[in-house]
Amino acid sequence: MASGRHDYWYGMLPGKAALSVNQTEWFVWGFGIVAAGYSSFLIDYTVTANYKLNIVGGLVSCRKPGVNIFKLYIDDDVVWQIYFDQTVTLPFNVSSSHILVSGQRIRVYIANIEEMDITFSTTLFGFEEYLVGM
Amino acid sequence: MAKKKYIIVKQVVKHKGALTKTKVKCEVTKLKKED
Repeated sequence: MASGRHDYWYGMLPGKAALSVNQTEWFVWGFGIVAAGYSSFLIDYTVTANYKLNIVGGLVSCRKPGVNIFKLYIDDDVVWQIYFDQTVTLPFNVSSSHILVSGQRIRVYIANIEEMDITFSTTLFGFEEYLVGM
Repeated sequence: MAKKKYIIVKQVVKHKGALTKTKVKCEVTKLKKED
């Protein structure tokens, strides 16, 4: 079964059936243990020069159910925040991707407000587009 | 001044067609009541 493969997410990461000549698949995956009562940024990515980044999806999950906070930062602004139990699916898709231009920074913030240390897995995926002639 | 704390975060990035696997030192912040 596809979802049992450890590379399941890598396998479906492009989020787009066909990419044009200047487009390549992109993803960032961050995995770490956040201690009880602490927060951290598990993903911190800045779009490189001459590229446009289309984020088509993302997933945040943790190994134990509990009360956690997820925030999505673009540059220094929080664009999405939610309390979650075990998983969060980001509200992007192929037809409404979130587009970032070169120099923009995207970060995934996780706060563990439980009383135990929790392992978190975070993924953002999509495709990047090389801007010809830039 | 309080000592900064870090966690080690495994990261995998696919960019320009290449896969990069790294371990990154990420700063952690103690939550306040208003968080």
